[in-house]
Amino acid sequence: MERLFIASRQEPHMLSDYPYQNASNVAPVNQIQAIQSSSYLYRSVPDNSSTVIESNSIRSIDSTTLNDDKIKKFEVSCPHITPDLIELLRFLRGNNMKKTEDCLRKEFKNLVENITSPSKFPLRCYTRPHDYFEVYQLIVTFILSNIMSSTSANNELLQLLFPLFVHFYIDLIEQQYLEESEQFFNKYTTYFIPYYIEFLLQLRVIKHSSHILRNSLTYALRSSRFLIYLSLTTCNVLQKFIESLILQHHYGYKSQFTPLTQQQTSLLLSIFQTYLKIDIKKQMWKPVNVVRFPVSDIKQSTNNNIDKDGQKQRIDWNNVQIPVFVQHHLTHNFQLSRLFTGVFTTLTRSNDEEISQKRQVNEFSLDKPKRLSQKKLLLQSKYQSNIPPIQRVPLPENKLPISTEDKSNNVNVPRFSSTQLPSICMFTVKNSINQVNCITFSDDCMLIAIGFHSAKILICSIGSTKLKILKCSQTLNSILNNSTLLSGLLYGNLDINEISLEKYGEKSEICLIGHCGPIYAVRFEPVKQSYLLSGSQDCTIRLWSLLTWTCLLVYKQHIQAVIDIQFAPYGHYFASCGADGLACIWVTDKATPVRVYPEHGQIYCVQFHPNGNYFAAACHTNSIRLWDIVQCDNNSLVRLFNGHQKQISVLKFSSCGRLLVSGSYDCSVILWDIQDSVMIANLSAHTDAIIALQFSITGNLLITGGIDYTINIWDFIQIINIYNEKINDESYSDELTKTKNNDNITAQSHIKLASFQTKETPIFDLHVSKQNILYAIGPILSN
Amino acid sequence: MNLPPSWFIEIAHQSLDSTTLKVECTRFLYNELLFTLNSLLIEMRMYARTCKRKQTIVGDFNLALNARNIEPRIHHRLHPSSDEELNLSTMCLMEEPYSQTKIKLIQISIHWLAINGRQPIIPENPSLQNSIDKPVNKVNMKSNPLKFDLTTEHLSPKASVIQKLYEIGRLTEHSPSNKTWSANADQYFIPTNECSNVLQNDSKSNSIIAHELSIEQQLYYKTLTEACFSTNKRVCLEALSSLTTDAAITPLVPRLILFISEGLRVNIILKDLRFIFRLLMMLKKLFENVYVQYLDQLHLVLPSLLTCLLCNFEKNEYILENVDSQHVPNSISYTIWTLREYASDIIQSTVKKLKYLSFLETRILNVIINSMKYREQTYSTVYACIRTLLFIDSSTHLTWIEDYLKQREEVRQQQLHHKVDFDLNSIQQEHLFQEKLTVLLKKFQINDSRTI
Repeated sequence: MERLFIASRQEPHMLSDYPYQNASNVAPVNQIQAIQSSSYLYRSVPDNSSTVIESNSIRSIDSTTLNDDKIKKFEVSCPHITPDLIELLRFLRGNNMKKTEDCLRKEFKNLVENITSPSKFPLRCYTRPHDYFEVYQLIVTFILSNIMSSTSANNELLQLLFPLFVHFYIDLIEQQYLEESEQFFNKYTTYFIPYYIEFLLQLRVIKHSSHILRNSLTYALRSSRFLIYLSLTTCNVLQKFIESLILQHHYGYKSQFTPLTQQQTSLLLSIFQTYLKIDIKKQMWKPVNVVRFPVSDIKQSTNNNIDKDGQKQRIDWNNVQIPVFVQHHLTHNFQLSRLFTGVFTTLTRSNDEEISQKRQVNEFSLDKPKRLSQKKLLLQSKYQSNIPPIQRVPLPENKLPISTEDKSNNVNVPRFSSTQLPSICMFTVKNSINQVNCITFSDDCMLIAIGFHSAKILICSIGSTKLKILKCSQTLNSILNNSTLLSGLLYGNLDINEISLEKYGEKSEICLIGHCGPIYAVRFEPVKQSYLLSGSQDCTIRLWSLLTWTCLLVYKQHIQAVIDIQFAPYGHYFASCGADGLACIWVTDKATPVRVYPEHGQIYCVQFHPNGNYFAAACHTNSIRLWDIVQCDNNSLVRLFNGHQKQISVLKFSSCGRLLVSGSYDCSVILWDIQDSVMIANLSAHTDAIIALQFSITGNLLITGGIDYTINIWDFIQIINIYNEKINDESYSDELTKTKNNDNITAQSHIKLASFQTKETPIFDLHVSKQNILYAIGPILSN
Repeated sequence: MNLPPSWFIEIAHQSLDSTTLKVECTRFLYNELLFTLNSLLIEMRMYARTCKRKQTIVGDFNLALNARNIEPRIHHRLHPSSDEELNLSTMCLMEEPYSQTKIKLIQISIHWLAINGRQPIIPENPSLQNSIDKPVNKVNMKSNPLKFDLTTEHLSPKASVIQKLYEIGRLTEHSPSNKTWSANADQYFIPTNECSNVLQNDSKSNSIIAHELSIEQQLYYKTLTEACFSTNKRVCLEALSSLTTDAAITPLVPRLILFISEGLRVNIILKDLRFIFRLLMMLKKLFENVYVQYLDQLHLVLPSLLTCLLCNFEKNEYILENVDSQHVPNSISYTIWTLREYASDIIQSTVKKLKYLSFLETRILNVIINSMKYREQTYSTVYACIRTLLFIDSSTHLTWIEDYLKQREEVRQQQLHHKVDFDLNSIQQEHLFQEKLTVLLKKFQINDSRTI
């Protein structure tokens, strides 16, 4: 493919035909699309129909001289080129460029001959290891010089550095240049420290070409493409650069960069084509807009992070959008479609929420300028209308979202705010070093479930009530025959639980035994709390009844340890994920999953959106994927979030459904706007991994708990306010923003409201009870 | 291309029982072994993280092996255990983290980590000194130049065998370039100012002060408390009704409760029943107020309240005279018996209201039961205790109360004298006790086993 273009350049008239030269200055929308479909840089987006007729149209390029076997071989060996070829042919025919089309035919014939002949395959084999160094050095100098020369906003090109580095490195190993690969690694890793540290660790592991497919990360990288979004201006810069490379060795055109050989250029282009997908898109995300804690002056650091010497180069990756990568087949379908981020409100609860929202709005308008509160109102109405149809994810009749009455009863529950901080009730599990793997509170804070390394599950009652068990079947039968009891039940005079349950022998804790490996996750069913799910190293998930205290069902699908489970907000569905790279959606009463989402490496945690339509999973590539449960196949992946440096440890959606919060082993908490797919805030006050996240009932406080024995409390509403203000300020003049900047910085330093240390007790779970008391639990690590 | 170290070649030759192994073969084997080992170490880290641990333990490595269907024994056969440096395999047998020998019961304890955003100074919480020390240590660890090890700062290996594994996985891997690498890493390390910020913010958050009352509020407080003790019945009733209905009373609550608890404490010693009664009335009305959150002050008032229920108003000549001279109980409504009933009502309604507070109920019940068991009691306290127990949880205490009454009856028949309160004589009290108890027991359908 890349040779094809190089060759086509030998005909001078081609240049005038070439469309993007004209379009680069004006660039209306349709022309940009034309550029995308024609340019070798861009991978066109074929609709489904074109993939169906693919085989025919490939043959339509050259059906006369080549036989079917060769074309088939070509299709098998170069599947990534075929859609481009078809698109290119379509474009050439559409614009009536016959000479180029002929040229394409010739080139295609040569290419197919080359590939199908046994001795010459693949193209990149001809490159020497030295080429990799030269090409990468050129790219680095190009990108860095570009950043130095331009004033700002050209951090975008930095996105290219890591994808190219990774694939060059893997290429070197693939071709058995082991020593050179090590040199390459050592020479260029300095750019990526400490941001990509976990990736680099894994890359270091592979030592032989046979290892590439056996390591989950490199396998994922090789079967994926990086999605890179550039603004139009940056894209033009990149295009001109590549053009100049091509022109250099055909016309002796001199540029500021050292010339590349033909092989080197084709190496670069082939990497571009196979593993990168570049799209023109206005950047929604700006590093300046992110609310950071602790506050750092970003503007200064962006200008100073690269020295002119070219020796001491350190790139602050916090200011760069980190490109995500997705599987080849998904790259075409991945689009930022509109999502339902609203949350169901039913009649009884809506009044309450309206009141609370009004209160919030009042609070804002008190100390903030008016335009902000108006914008806030707009935002709210926008998101309120954005609620999915209630049965989009079907639920059985009795499990439809109905608000609980208890919440409205508590008039005297204090509303937490920056001045009214919560009380924290701390549970400490003693004598359990290295034995407790997971702990969870039930929704009413009456029960806790502890999963042990010894495959046992312990249920404890933390209230004054003892645990109860269903009466034996005979007594239940007699209840059915008793007419007065039945009528009492019918008219609501009697509680079914009172009649059918009895005390379980004065017990306040019960051990559930059934798994045969360490328990990694336990979850209570959110609505009735009479079920418990547990996931274990033994690859199974078990459903337990908390009325009969027995195991009801064993779910088997995973082929390695189940790492996390999560119930949907209204029960009935649950999600699981495991070390085998499967994320599954299940219905509690079926033994097989209803959805399976395969990934290349481990999936560490899952979380449902509060309206139950989406679920997020944290993958081994330090990125978060958001799937639409209702959509199937290739359209189901709706969002990708990337920005953490290390493994993600916990996910949580905000109660309003607008934001996703993620905690990670890089000690930071990141807030994501789901609809716009941008990072809103990056909070790093912990000194170790964050493993528990929780919101207060009214949703205005964010509480984070970590392995570092700390609970931090954040002013969530203030964070959103600052972010909104920053976005608002963009559209106003510079002078205004300068004065406001200082206000913002002082406001930002106050978003952390409090921090509490425990005595060597990592926080395993956090829960806010309906009485607005924060419960925390963890095992103490000293005796 | 670096050659595999000599020890590896030796081992390979010995274990494969062949002297003709080619260099390429050993090199390949060596690379393969390193790859597997490092992959296992990364997987091991995954298991440690899943268990939310900072450190890896031998068990994690076993799990990683287990996930690949590798039995630890196979390794054991490959490596002869003679060489101390190399017996990686035996570690699986050596350090068993979940040994059965030292079984300690798992306990769960509970304490307040924070009350309204402030950390109480109790032994369960770390002292200030501790919390300052910790982050400093963290920084020292972070500035370690060997950051780019497989041992990241999250996973400092705990077991010595694992440490050895890490060393092998690391040192033999890329020995030639190792030096330059670590130097680079040192250069590009970014110092974190995190910890100083954390500390600063702590001090800020601690400096939030409970706000002072405005002058109007102080006036309100004064009028309210005075009105509650007014002799004018109408004024008194209005004051009490404002205690139940007024939402604006919220900022006064801590002071009011302090007032009540102190008042109760003093007046119980003075045995001024009229004042105690008024104070209890205030407390009851205050607790009925739906807008008021009194959870944080509960610990102030509960001891006084329980004292009202449990204390013996014994005959003390001096005080009795004093009291008699000032406030002779002019109506029956101020007797000790009604006072106990009143206190009992408040306690049981509070317990019921705060049922979600785990251990509040058990704690109160414990206090009552212990005092019944171990303290000599007057008729009225016995009655009040039984009444409270029955109202809080009749089903669990039924049998216990029956037994208690039986025992008490036996003891009573042996002893002639019984402790009594000061207001009535012993025969009157006993009469009243029996009367009230029968009513109570009838209400809860308890078999009256007493012989009167």
